Amino acid sequence: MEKASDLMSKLQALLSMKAWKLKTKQQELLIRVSILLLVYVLAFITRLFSVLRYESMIHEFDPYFNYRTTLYLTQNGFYDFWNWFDSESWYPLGRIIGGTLYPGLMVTAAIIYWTLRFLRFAVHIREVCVLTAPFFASNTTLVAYFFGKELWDSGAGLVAAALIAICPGYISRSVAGSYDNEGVAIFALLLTFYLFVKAVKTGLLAWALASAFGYFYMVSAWGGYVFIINLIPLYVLVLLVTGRYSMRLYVAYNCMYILGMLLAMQIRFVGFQHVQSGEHMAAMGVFFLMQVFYFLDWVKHQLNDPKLFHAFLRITVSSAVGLGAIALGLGTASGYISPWTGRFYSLLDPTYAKDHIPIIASVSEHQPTAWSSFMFDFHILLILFPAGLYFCFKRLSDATIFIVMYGLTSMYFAGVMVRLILVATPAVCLISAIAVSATIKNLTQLVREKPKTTHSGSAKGTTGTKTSSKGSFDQSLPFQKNGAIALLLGVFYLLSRYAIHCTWVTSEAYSSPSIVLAARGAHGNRIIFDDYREAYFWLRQNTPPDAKVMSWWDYGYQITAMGNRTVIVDNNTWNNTHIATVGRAMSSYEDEAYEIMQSLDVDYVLVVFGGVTGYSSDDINKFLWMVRIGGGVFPVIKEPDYLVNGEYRVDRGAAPKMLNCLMYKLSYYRFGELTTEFGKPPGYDRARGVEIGNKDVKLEYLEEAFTTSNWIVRIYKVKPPNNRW
Amino acid sequence: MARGLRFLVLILSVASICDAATFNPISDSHRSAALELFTPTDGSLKSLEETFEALRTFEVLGIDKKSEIKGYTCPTVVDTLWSPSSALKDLFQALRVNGVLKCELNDEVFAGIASRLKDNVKDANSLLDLHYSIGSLKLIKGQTAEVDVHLEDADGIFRAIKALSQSDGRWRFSSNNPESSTYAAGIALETLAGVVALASHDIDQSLMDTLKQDILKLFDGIERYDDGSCYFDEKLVDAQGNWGPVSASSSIVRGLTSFATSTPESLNLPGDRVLCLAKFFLGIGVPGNFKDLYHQIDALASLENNRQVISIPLILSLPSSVLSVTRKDQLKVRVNTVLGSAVPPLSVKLMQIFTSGSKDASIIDQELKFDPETKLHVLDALPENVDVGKYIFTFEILLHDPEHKKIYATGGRTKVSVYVTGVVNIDQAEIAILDSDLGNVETKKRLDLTGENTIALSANHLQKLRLTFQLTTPFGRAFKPHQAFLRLRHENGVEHIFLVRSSGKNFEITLDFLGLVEKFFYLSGGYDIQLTVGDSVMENSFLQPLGYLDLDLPDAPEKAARPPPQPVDFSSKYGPRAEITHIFRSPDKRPPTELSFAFLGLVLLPLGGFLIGLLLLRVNLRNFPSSTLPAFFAISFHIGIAAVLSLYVVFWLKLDLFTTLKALGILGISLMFTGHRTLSHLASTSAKLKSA
Amino acid sequence: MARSSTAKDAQALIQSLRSAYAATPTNLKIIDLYIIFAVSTALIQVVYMALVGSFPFNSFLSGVLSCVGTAVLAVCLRIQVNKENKEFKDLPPERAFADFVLCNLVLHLVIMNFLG
Repeated sequence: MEKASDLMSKLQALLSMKAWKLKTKQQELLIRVSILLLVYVLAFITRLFSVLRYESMIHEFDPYFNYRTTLYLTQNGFYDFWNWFDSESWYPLGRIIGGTLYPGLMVTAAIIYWTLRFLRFAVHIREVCVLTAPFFASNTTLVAYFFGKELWDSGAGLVAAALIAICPGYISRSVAGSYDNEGVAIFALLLTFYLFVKAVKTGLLAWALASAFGYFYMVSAWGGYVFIINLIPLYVLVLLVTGRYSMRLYVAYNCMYILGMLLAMQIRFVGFQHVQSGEHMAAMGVFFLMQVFYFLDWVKHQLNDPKLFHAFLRITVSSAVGLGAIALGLGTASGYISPWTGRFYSLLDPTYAKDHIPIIASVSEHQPTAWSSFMFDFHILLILFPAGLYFCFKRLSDATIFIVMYGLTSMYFAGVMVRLILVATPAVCLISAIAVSATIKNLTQLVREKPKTTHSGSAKGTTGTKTSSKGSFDQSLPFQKNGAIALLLGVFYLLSRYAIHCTWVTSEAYSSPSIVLAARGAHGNRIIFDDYREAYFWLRQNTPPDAKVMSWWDYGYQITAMGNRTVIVDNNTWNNTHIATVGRAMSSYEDEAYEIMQSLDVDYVLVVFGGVTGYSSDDINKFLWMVRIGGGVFPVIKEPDYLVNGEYRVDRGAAPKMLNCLMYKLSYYRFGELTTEFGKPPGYDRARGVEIGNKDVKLEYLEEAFTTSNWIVRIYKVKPPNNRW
Repeated sequence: MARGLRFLVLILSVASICDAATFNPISDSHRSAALELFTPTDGSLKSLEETFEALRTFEVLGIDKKSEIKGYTCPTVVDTLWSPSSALKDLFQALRVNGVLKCELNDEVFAGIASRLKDNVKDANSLLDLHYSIGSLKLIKGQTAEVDVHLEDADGIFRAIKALSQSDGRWRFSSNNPESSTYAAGIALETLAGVVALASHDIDQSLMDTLKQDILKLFDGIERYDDGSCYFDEKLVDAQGNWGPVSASSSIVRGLTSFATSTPESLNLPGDRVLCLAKFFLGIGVPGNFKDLYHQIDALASLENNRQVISIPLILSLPSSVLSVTRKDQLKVRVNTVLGSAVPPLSVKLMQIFTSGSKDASIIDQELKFDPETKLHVLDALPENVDVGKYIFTFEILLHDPEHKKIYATGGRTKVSVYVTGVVNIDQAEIAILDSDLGNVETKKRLDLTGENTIALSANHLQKLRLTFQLTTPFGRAFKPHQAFLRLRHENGVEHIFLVRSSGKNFEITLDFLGLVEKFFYLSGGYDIQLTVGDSVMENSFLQPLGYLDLDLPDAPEKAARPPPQPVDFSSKYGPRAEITHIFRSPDKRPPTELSFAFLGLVLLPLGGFLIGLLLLRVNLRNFPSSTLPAFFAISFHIGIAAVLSLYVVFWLKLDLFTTLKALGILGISLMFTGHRTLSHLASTSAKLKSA
Repeated sequence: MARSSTAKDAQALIQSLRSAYAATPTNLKIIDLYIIFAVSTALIQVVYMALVGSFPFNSFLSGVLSCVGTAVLAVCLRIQVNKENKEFKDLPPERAFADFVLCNLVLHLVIMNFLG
């Protein structure tokens, strides 16, 4: 409700802005600033649901790694962090943390932490980490305002700020506790784009430099920077093709590219990719193209003679194209320029991952997006988006071309991968804001215009010429004022529905920390399952400090961060073979698995099991992915062995290999004795709704070490080798 | 699995049973160890303390090296005692050494030291100071009768020491050190014994009573091992880390015996405690460092020569705990004191025999015959039911004189683990090739497992190999050895080990080759057959080749597993591993230096070209501001840029990023200011020009 | 036939270019000279790389990119101070120069960090 009223007040302010504009500029400024301030605060507090409902804690999986590294950074300083070799993950390989992460998020949080400490606020680093994402979401609203202002006018900027503040597509990645790269990256992304558009508009080196710094921050924060480094050249190319080349564009792009590339190379994880990987070659190509274009332009200007210029063109272009093709061919053939990575291919071809890289396909975030999730995340913006595109095309400028391209490409990528909805969100918000702002402006004009129709044009400042002409054109229509009022009310209704939807989505869908599970009990009361933390705490307290824990990679980060124990694989999926080895162990018979575990020095095995609570994202449901990933490297594991007529089942009719593989045994050990639901036989699996097929699980090489109170996490100890028969 | 078995063949482990450990009294091995450990370096021992410890150890062990040591130690002792500035500790040690060596000293020295020590006693507040002073006084008393060493205020000193005791019987080293120590308790007891001995009158009886309570409390905190020994643990960790259970227990024993000897009344310590302490010291064996050796020997000597105020422990031991039934060995038992000296008349009874690993015992109650010549108690023949195997024998020592029961601690029954070995009979050994389906015997050969065997067999994958034999003990009972393995080894080194299972006397293994083809990796050809039967109580354990088996197996299908590569020598698993050679990335190719320098020069060329070009274009500094203030700003602007660039160079050479950024921040601000002034000045002049 | 016409074209081209360039103001000529200096330095480094390989790749990159970056920034400066460019009529050359200095300082800070 709060949001709705806020939106209303904002819209009213928009109206009043028109009315008061002529009277005093200061009042308008005051209103604008206060609205922005409210939006800023709103963006922050709407992300606090999870903190209020649970507690201040880190969510999900990856954020635990980020938290752990941030902790290390604040404790040991930057250089130690930069050179950190972590032996607790990827046992026995270890991981060079400093060279394999995007440090932007950690450094940001650490700087905030140090600043607060300097100001004598005794905060814990965890609180800083929890609130980093909302803080940056608030900052994003500011950037959105300026961007909108740059694109259209300040009204559109305000609407954009308000829309992006509560847009679920963005909230999903930036609620308090979701301490992930995306939290700051969207801010950096939008900032870079804004600064670049500004640079193109003014042609000033300073703005281009600022844009390069924005890009640097983005590179340091998130792998999604590849989107920027491809979108901007594409944009430049489009401008070139459509004949909108200008000196300003040259200044902006070249300065931004050279400096941005150099700055980006300072991030060790990115390193030389800018000159070596195929994903970055477009930018370099456009850079050279710009030079050629400028040179030709200059020569043309000097010559002032079309015939001579054509001759010149013929000589230079043919030689340049030949040279470029040879260079590119040589580079690719000699392996100097690396081919595109799998994730990038899967962006271009949605079915690529499914066929080739199970490890990418196994992550639900990498699945193609369903329509329902578009609706869920964008709501009315989905309808406003085409309208906004229409307005943009109506008033083409360098800036609007940019936002149109950003919107269209990011919408395409959002359709390919669920998690890229996040990238599309700012564009959708901005374009929709243009639609809303332009519509309301036109309508209010109609409403107010009645007494003095002839002056409508003069009331407008820089942007109103088209709308005013439209106003005069509409004059002949009857009931236009009433119609306009009705339409306005409709818009308000839609916007308020949007606000309500956003609040509902935020509170219901995006504010659960996934490490603590909540369910409704029989009487409607909330039941909290805190099994994960119970298990990790048990690991921390009861196992030797050098114990190695094997689990599926999803839980790797949490085990190292909360349990402080060494893991075999974790969420940083850089070594497919290693993950496949774990997958193979999980899907083998116990004795074969034992040999694998011995070779990996495993002391404990951790599985997640939802059969008692009905928690469906447990290891049994992920098991087919383990089989696929394991089978992708070790052909001994064959997926059909685990299926019955192509069907995945765990009950009596399940495949014999399924019933006796390690994962099955570990999940259902002693489960056959347990009655989970009244009126059902013992061993009734509530997550899958079946009675399990192998109730008499005997373990030979492992023993149960710990099972949490709701059986969600089960930990087994690997027995030492027998020394006699 | 198979591989693990292979190594068990080699390891015939003799497992000791924890609650029946044997304690042997001090023997010659201690003497040789003492001589080895207390070797003087550079002609003398390191310190007087060490000298004393060596002397004391030699004395107890009966090694005569006194005259040898006397030669080079006495001068040090005399020096120390004469010197008025010697530390208390040195005095004490010197007196101790002198007590043994009897150096030539006159009473004057002792009188001087005694008066100094008495002063010290009055205002000493740490336990060690008191210990040294009183110990020294007591030593002086023992070395000369002329000097008066009596303490007037014995009660007061007694109380002062007592004040440091803790409720659990342990002591603190000084009143301002809150940590209590078991070692200190021993020292305190020794010191108190000294006070009692030096006191000019009797000590207050109530003080003595509370002290006895303390001692009993101290014994409440005794720690026990499973084998029946017990010790005092030291909680306090010394800076040098040389206080452990040995020194703490030894200190307690020393303190206790000296205290007990100095008072007329008995402490009523239970004999089994004393015995178990003695067992602890004996259980150490021969310590590897001289401190521990001294503590061990000294404590044992204190226990033995305690003038019968506390019980003297008696130790029962077996000269040999391995008895062979084949050789008809006799069970011999020896009873000694801890230092191995003679004991009063007594007899030893064999009470019970436990079969190892089971609880049930056979009760014997048989007295052993005493052989006065060898001082051994001998049991002529082992009881009937003792076959080969591991046993625990329980003995009891019976003292003949009832008076002695108060003096000696025998500790009730003593358990000793005994191995009874014998030659195991191997009968009816035969090896046969069977037809798989019907079990018809194809070939059958008898084996003589006590001698050499070279049989040659051949079989195909549809047949079976059967090996049978019988094992019986000398008494005709079934014998189940620890290891019974059949090993087949292919020509190329792949080997397979099978466990031969038994039912009663009969051992049988049948290898069905049809089921084993995959395990045999489809390898046809010759296999060596080897049989291993072994046990620690089996005197004729063997590992011998039986012969040769020519096996004809079908060809391997494509998917069959390859045989694993064989190690060259399987015992190499325990030998040194192959050295790991680290492969480092070879350094990248670097160009010759001359080429690099040539290009360095070449890179400078365009710079020269640039400067020449500037001259050709007739560049001038006409626009440089002429008036002072703008000129100053312009100059400082250029200097600023130069400073920033040189900062970059320094950054490249040595600074880190953060230092650079800080410096850059400061430089940048001034640069911005001067730059703004300069450029705005230029702009205004050019604007003026334009308007003009 | 085509070859000779191409050569003739090229000759005429160079001729007219030279004459046209003579009219350029001196300050732009200085910048052009600077650009040529930077580009030729970069070319020498590329030749060196082609001869001996690019082993300390970061050093090579920073060397070349330093030159390329300087050249590109100088081109930007040239565009901005060129009075014939209508797009930048409002921009005073002093402001352009200040931006140029700033960008150069940042560029070389990064280069120094990257040099290894």
